Amino acid sequence: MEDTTNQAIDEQTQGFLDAEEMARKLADKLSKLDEATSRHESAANSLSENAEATRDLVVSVRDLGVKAAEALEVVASVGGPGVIEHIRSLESDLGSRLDLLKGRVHLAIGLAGIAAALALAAMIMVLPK
Amino acid sequence: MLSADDAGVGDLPEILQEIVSPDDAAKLRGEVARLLGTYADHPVLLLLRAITELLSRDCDSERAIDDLDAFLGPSRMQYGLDDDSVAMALGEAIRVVHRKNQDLSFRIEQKYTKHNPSNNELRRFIQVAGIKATRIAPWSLLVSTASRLVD
Repeated sequence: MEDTTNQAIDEQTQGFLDAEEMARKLADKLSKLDEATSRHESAANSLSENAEATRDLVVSVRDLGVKAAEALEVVASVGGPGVIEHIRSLESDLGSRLDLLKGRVHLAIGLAGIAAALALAAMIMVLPK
Repeated sequence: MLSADDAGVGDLPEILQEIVSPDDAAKLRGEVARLLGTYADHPVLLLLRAITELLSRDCDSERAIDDLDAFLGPSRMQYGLDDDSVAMALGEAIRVVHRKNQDLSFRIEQKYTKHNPSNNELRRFIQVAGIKATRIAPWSLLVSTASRLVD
């Protein structure tokens, strides 16, 4: 992303943004490869073309796994646990707002579940093929 | 600043850099309040009053949140402030307020993310605020990317 701000971006922030951008681009690439593979199958194209597309796919998935894991590591180290801790402390202090807070806790748990699933997927993807 | 195309968002870093103590914040709060007497709906003045309120010793956080609501609502519409400028302005706010009070910067981030900013706006917001000052935006971005993979 082009930097038009006057502030220097710290290394951790830049690392996260780079990793997220890479993951996003690779997600786009995976989607296009998926479409291309479907077209190849329906058109009964040559095996070599499919093999090449599959090799690209494997490389992309591996890179995606690494970058997604890096992005998650940054977020988890600086913010993730803080969200849940903050919400739990609010819940214990503010009984009158319990219903509202329960909604937030459910959201946090939901996000944590998705993040855990993504981390698991990332680990699986980076395993040597 | 008052007549700039971006309503003065680009001047925010320089202005906020001048605040090194709660007394500085209180002094700027007074100056901004006087300007708001003439430009009552100016978005960056409202945001500046919110920030300086939060950084002042006698902080009235609810008043600051009201100013923030006004900034995010009718004020930005009236001045035609674009979404990227809003993300930058609130990123600056978070970056500065987080140093003093993490709970209050979290409230600002909650207010912002409830307005459903796009992924590009979230990236800009994180870029300006710094990832250590954000708690929700990075998760929103990652969940968005993850959901695209699932789809």
